[in-house]
Amino acid sequence: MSRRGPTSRRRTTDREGGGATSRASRHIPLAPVRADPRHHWLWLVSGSVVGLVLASVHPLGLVVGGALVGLAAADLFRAVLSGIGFGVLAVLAWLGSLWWAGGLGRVLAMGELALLAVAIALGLSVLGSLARGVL
Amino acid sequence: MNGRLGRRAVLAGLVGAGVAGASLSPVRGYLEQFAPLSGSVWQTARASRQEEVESPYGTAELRYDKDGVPHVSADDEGALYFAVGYAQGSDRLFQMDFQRRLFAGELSAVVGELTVASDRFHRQMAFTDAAEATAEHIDGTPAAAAVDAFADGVNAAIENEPLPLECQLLDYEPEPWSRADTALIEKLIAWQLTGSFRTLRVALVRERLGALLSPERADELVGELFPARFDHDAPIIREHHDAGEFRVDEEDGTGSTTTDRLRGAVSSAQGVADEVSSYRRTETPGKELVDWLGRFESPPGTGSNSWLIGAEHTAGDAPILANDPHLSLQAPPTWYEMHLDGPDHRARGVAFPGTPLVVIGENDHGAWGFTNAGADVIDFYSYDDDGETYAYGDERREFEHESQKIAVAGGADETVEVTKTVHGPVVEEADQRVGVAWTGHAATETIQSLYELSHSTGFDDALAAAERFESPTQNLLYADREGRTLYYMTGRLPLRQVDGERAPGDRVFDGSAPEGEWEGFEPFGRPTWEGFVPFDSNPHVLDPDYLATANQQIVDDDRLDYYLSQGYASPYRGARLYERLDERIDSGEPVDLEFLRDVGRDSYDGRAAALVEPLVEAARDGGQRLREAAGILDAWEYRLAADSRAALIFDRWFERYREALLGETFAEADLDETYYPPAAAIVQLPRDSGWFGSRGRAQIMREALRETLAELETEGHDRYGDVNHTGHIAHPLELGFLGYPEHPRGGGGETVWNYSRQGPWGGSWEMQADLDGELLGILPGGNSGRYFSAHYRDQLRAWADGEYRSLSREVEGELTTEFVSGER
Repeated sequence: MSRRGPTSRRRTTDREGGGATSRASRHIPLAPVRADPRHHWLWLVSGSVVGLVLASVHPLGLVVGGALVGLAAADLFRAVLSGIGFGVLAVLAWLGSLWWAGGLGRVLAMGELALLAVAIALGLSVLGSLARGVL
Repeated sequence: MNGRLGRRAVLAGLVGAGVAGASLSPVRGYLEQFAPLSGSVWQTARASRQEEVESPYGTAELRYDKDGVPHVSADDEGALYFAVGYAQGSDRLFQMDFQRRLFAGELSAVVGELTVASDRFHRQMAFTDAAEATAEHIDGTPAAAAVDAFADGVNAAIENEPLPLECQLLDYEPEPWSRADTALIEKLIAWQLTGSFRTLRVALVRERLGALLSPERADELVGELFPARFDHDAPIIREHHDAGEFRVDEEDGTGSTTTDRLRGAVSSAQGVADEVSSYRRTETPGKELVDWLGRFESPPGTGSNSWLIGAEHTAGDAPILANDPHLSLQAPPTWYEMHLDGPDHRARGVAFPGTPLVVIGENDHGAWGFTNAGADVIDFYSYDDDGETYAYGDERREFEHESQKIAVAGGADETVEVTKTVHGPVVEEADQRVGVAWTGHAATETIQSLYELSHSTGFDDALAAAERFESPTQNLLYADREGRTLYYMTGRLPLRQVDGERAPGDRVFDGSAPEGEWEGFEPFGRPTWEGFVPFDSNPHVLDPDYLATANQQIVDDDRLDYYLSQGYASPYRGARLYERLDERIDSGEPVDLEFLRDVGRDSYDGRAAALVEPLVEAARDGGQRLREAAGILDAWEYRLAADSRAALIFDRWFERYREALLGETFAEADLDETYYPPAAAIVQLPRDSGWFGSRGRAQIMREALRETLAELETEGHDRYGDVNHTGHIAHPLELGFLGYPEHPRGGGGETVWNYSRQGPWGGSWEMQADLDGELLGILPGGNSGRYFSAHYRDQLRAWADGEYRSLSREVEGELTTEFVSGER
């Protein structure tokens, strides 16, 4: 038992990205979100919706969305993956809205400018997800 | 612990710096433009029009038909033109603003340093001063009221509708529109049609070749390249029109040396050379200046076709009128199609974006169209000057100077000196300068003329409107439903005086003498036009039975007693039109739209008809490959069809042939191909011309064909449409996606069905109006300037395929925007 305890704590610590300071993270409000899959997914979906709504009115909404989904991640690496996921979601939402408006083909024909939008979506979302390393 | 805190600090700093950078640095602008979902650029893809708009002029309805053409109806004229402004402001705002900025010299403020030279030229030419003078002059007229309502409508669209994609990309919002801006568009069009530096170009070619050869030899060779008149038997006004002579002087039986000399001057190429050399020469402007000016004139091939068939020759009971102006082709098109139904007039046709009036089209009473006349309405002056003052007769006058700032996006402001003399603006580059007098540099009544044409109720109204059409010089065709027809060369023609006698305007005048003055002309003011050709003496034909114009010689010079043009366009289109019409009318078979559609799509190349036979003969003396090409050309019927191999060979061969004739000599004189003459000059070179040199014509033809075939093989081109396609039509911002896709297109720069990829220019609006039948039209692209609109390029393929649309004379389409009475 005495050998399993520290090992187990170590794993948890890795997931939380806080090293030996996991005791501190246990006190933050997001701990249940990170630990409980149900809460985790609820948070991800809610965070994505809030992020998309904000992103539809201001570019920094992408940062907020990335941060929201990133904060739910167990560690920084996964937070970044979540940020990329949110960025992809934002791109899909954007392409979908263009398709709905009948302008998708013309936007894709814009080449580099369309790619710039994709890069912005991914870049800002990942930037936001880095907040996981702070909180 | 420290490491953890350090990492947090780094990440916090990274996120903070990223957010701050995105919010505060120049990156913010890009994010606001291109961020998915919120980016302003993408908003234009999701834009929808306002369904209800307040108008201070009262109620109106704006409908769009299946081709994106606005149908505007109102019971009040102000309300009508407000809605027209709103439609144009919604559909073509960037184009309008771009053109306004171009001619005001304000492009760099949004485009950057790339356009500083353009801004410098347009500021120096002071087009805005002429526009303001025009706007002021028409004050109080119904036309001005219509333009003001239009401007208000444009401004309402700027306020209510999403900005165009281009404005979002360049990140700016256009300034409000005004009456002077519409007048500036008039100046832009006038400049594109009559602003030619040919006088300077020819003078420079003569001077440079004179330095290589002897002046006499240079005069002979240049005379062959730039003849005042081409061999021609199909001027616009022909014997059967019985139009008489067009004289400024009363015939007094004593004869006039000026008249005789002018007639001699324009009767032949050699005549011009003799004529020019008989005058005291003034200093030719330097090459740097002429090179620079050449960038700001219209392409040399800009021209148009029009024809009318009187009721006695048509299948119906009224005339047929057709017009296809060959202006610059661009995305979106030069023209904006619209249908207006007002309280006392209905008009359908096309306008220049930025102007509310139908320029080419028809109303309930008649139809009208324009082609360029090719008249010389611009002169150049050199001065004895010291930079601050210039000699003018016995006195010295100060130049009128003004320092203007050119704002440059992303760069430092530039300064330009705007200088004027009694004649007009002075253009300057590389410390070389020349004075310019141009009829468009004055308060003109062309907007009123177009207003009157839209409201005309028949022949008499159209004739009255023609007199007000002061600039540019145009061939106006008009036909009414009662069967009356009219050809009138509109526009003011200056009469130059040198030593008390009339003189042609094909040289640089000594502005200090002063010579080449235009009596009654006050630049940037309202001229009295007293020293100009009286309107009644402009070439015209009342009630022609049929008539065709294609920028060719207007009338034989022996029917004029004044100088009209330095040189007309190559004659092939005009000759072909008359050939087709003569044949049909001589056959006795009535002319109908089915036949005229075929005429409009005629791609017979007069250059080929003159050159293919000797080319085939020369090629048969070559190797196997040349003989094969000769066989293809020999079986060809000289039509530039998109699927023709022979057309491809000939068209490309002609370029190589011209280069073989001129390239070496011009390169030696440090003159590039922009100084080359029109096609007809090459075709009509006499067999013993000095340009063939010791090799002779056949040898040069053969070598050019050999090079052409090798070139085509390397490029892999097989048919004419492989190189002649719509992909050459680009957007002014030169962003690929805003241009047009490639569809093969027949026709060339010298054919009736016109499309020259070099400009590109061609049929910028192709219309045929049977006043007792259908109204046909087609645009090269689409009617909307909005990239995301379904009508951005929906007519392009049909245009490339030579089709027409049938245009309704009824208001139709879905109600898009309703204008309701609101506060002014």
